[in-house]
Amino acid sequence: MDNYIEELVGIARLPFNEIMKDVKVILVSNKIMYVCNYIKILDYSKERLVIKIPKNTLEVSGEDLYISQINKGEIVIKGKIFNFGFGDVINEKNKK
Amino acid sequence: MKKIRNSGTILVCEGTNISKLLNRCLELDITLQNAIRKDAKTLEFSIDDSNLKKFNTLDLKGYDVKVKNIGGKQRFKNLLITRCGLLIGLIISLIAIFFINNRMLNIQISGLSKYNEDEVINEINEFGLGYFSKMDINTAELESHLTNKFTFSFVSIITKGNTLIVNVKEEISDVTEKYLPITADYNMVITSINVYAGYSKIKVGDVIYKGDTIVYPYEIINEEKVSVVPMAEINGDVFFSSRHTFRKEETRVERTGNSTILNSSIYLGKNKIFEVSKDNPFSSFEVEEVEDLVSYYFLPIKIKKTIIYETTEAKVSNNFDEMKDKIIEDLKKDVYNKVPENLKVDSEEIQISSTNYGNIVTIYLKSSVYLNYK
Repeated sequence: MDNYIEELVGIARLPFNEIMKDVKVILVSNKIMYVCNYIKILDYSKERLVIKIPKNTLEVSGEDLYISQINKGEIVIKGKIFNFGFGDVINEKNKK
Repeated sequence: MKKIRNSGTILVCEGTNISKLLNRCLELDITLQNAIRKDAKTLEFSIDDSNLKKFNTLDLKGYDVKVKNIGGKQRFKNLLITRCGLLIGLIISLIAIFFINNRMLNIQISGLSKYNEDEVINEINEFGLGYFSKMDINTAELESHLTNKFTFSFVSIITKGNTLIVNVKEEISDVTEKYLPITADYNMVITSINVYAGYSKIKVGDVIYKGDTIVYPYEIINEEKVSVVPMAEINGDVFFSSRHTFRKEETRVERTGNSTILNSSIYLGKNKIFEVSKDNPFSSFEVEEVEDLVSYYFLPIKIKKTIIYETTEAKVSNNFDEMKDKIIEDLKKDVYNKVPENLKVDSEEIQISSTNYGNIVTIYLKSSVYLNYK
């Protein structure tokens, strides 16, 4: 996984050290989401999961969401993922 | 992310702030799996043994933690504790099997009439073979020991499993003093009979078979049987024959060399516990059953295999004139082997008859017998 990210950072010509410490999100289909370098869980239910990431929050919404595996810095979310965004993006969209 | 085997303990936590509990776990670097939010206050998750130790150090005030399913090493430990009796029983059984394997537990003696079974068992014990002693004995030595100690004419000892099987034949009592009938030693036609003592119904021309009584050891005087030693002179003709059926055409079945295992079955005693079968690929075949005994002492496990061999049929024509001499030579060897050494062959006759399918060759030998019992 890290090799792939290194390659990606190389292609995009981004500063490697900064990027590697930053949050990384990988979504496979709409069923599995892998989040790396997160800080903590802010909210967790079957429909919504809010994760605190450096300088922001990551919000995932869907149906039958559950945490398949969680440890310090890494989390795997499974379920039907409909939407995700940084900050209060989803709530703002809903308000509109 | 490191993949963790999903065979841990399943816990159910109830509390007002479940996210806080999750974050506390993350602070201690506890890995959780399948963390499912059942409702607003309930979280169910799976945790392995090493992480469970860390989890137990958490301050869980305000949370009600219940164990839904125990897994991993703890489950094995619990199994050992709860099934302690079973485990002890298993160990005792294994020790017992190890101890009694190849040791004598039973003695079966057959053929005794004059002696008591206990006497023979005592003698076997004196030989150094008692209950629970090892079965790796020299049976020939024990046989000769028993033959010397008792008046046995024959002793046979075999070991089968944990049983020692002793077959004996006690010496036959002396019968020479008793009145015995005159019996036929061969199948024969009586040509002359003169009875001097005893009783006989046999006449000249009668056919008698081996073992038949010719003269009984008694005489009937005033309608009463009086025992006498039978005495008689008997002449008879004894015939020996051997036959061969010759066929002009024969169908010979030969194996091609191709074979396959059609069926394999594993038996525990008489019960079939496993079977594998496949379709027969041959149109013409021979079947052979093979049976292997895998183990006898611990479990009577047998493997039975049905092997089929592909065959071909070929029609072969035979010429009688070419084979006639060989057939007669073989028949002569066969029929002369039937003639006892003390009999002389008087005449030999070869008969050849034709049938629809070939010929029948028969050789007859005739010899005269003279029996004189005085």
